[in-house]
Amino acid sequence: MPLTVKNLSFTYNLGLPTEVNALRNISFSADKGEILSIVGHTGSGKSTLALHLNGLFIPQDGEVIIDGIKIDNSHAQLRKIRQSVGLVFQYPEQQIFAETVHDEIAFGPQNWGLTGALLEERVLYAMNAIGLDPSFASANPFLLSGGEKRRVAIASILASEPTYLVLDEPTAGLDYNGLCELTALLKSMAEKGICVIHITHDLELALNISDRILIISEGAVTACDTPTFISQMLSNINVKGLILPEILSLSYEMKKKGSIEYVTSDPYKLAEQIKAAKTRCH
Amino acid sequence: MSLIKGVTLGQYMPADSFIHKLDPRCKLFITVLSMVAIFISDNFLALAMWASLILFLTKRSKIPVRALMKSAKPIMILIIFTSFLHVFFTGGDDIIFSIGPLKASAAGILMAIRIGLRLYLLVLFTALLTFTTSPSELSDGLEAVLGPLKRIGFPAHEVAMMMTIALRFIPTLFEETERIINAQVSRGADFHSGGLVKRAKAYIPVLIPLFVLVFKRADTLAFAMEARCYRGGKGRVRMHPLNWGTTETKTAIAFIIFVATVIVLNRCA
Ligand SMILES: Nc1ncnc2c1ncn2[C@@H]1O[C@H](COP(=O)(O)OP(=O)(O)OP(=O)(O)O)[C@@H](O)[C@H]1O
Ligand SMILES: [Mg+2]
Repeated sequence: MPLTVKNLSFTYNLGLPTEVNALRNISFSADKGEILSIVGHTGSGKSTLALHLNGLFIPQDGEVIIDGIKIDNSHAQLRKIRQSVGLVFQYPEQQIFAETVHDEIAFGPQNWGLTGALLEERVLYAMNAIGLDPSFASANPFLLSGGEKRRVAIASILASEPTYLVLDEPTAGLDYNGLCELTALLKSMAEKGICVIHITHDLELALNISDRILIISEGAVTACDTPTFISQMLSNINVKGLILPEILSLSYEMKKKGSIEYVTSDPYKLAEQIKAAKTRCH
Repeated sequence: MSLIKGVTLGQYMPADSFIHKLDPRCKLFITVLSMVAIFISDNFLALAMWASLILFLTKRSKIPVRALMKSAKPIMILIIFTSFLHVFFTGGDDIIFSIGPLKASAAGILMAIRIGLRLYLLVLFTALLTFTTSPSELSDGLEAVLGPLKRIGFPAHEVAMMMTIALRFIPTLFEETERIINAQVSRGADFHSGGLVKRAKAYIPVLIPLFVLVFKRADTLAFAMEARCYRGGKGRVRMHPLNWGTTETKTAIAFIIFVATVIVLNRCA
C-alpha cells in the first residue's frame, strides 16, 4: 500500500523519569482515495503518530514507508515526503503569521519553489476547495473569525497539493456548520484520489464518514477495519475513553432482545431492520 | 529543531528524596551561596569539587544525570560563545595560534575553559533547584526570603509569583515553539539552508505565531487568576506552611563548611 506503518514504537523522554511510551508496535496502512479515521482517547498517541507520518519524528523503532520511500534522516527525502504528506495540526490557526490570507496560503507552495502564475493558481485552487471567497485574499488573517482562520490554515496545506492529507482533530472547536463543511471537504478530497487520514476522538463522526477506522488505545492498535465491522466489534470489547454513539447502543440492545438481525450505526439500515421485523410479526 | 527537543531546563521532577523534602528556603540559600562561590572559584581543583558536589546531589535527589546534562543544552551556545571570546581577548604572551588579527594565548585558552566550566556548573546547580522544588514551593520560598524587603515597599509576593510563573512557563514555551516549528516545517519551511540572513528570516513564521500565542496565554492566565479572586499577596495563606527543621539547619551548616573548604583550597592552590 502507498502509506505503510510497520511495528512503529515511540517513547518520549527516553531514559528520563518523565518517560512516556506513546506508541507501541503500531502497524497499519492506508490507500489513496480513502478516508481512514484514527480514533482514540486523549493521550492515546494520535498526535504522536501524526508527527511520524510526514517525518517530523523519525521512527525510533519500526518503519514508516510512503510511496516506497522509508522515512529516515535523509534531508532530501524528508522534504519530498513533507511535500506529498500535508499535515494539518490540531488548532492549525495558531500557525498563521502572514499579513494577508493570500500570503499565508502561498507560504507552502513558495517553499516548494513555485512562483508566478503557477503559484496564483494553487492559491486560488486551495481557496476554492475550502470554500473561501476569492475576495478574502487581501484580508488580514488575524482579524478573521475562528472558523475562517481554521479554513485559511487548511487551505495553506491544500495549496501544496499533497497526495496524503493528515488532519489532527480538525473538527475541534467547530460548530455544526463548520463540521458539515469540513466533512464535505474530506469526502471531496478522498474522491479526488487523496489519501485522507483523519484523527479524532469522535467515534460517531468516524463511523459516519470513514472508509476504514483505526482504533488506538494507550499507544497500541485495538482494531483496524470498516465502520460496519467496527460497529459489530464494539459490542464485544470496551475501548477506554470512547463514547458509543446512541444509535449503536440502541441497536446493541435491540439485537440482544432479538428484535433486529445485526448491529448498525446507520439510521436507515436500523429502520429497515425494524420494519422487516414488524412485517415478520404480522 | 534539535536545539529545543527534550529540553529539561526549569522542569520539576517529583521524586521521593531528602532533597525534594528540604525547605525551599534552605535550597534557595544553598543555591544563591553556591552561585556566588562558583563564581569566585577559579582553580580547577575547586571546580572539580563543585562538579562532584553537583553529581552527589543529583544522585541523592534521584534525578538521572542525563536529565541534568540536558538542562544546559539551550544555554550551551551562550557558554561556548563566551568561552570563545575569552580565548582571543584575554591577552598574554605565549601565543598558541592566531586567526588573522585574533591571537589565542595559552592563558586565554585556560581562561576560556575555566569560564565555560563555571557557567556550566552554575546552570547545572540552578537546574538542580528547579528539578527538586515544585513551582509553588519555590514561590513560597522566594516570598519568604524576600519578605523583609516588604517593609521598604518591595512587592515580595508579586515578584515571587512572577518568577514562579515565568519558570513554570519555560517548558510550555519550548513545547509551543516546537509545535509551531513543526507546523511550518510541514509547510516546507527550511531552517537549515541559505545564509545567515535567510535563516534568520526563516524564523519569522515561527516568531509571529509564538508572540500571538504568548500574549493570548498571558491574557487568559490573568483572567483565570482574577476569576479565582487572586489579588496579590494581601491576606493570602499558604497551603503548605514552610517548615525549617533540624535537617535544614544541618544541611545548611554542612554546606557552609563545604563552601569554606573550597574557598580556602581555591586561595591556597
Ligand atoms: N512532547 C512530549 N513530551 C512528553 N510526553 C509527551 C509529549 N507529547 C505527548 N506526550 C505524551 O505522549 C502520550 C501521547 O500523546 P499524544 O499527544 O500523541 O496523544 P493524543 O492521542 O494526540 O491526545 P489528544 O487527544 O489529547 O490530542 C501522552 O501520554 C502524552 O502525555
Ligand atoms: Mg492530539
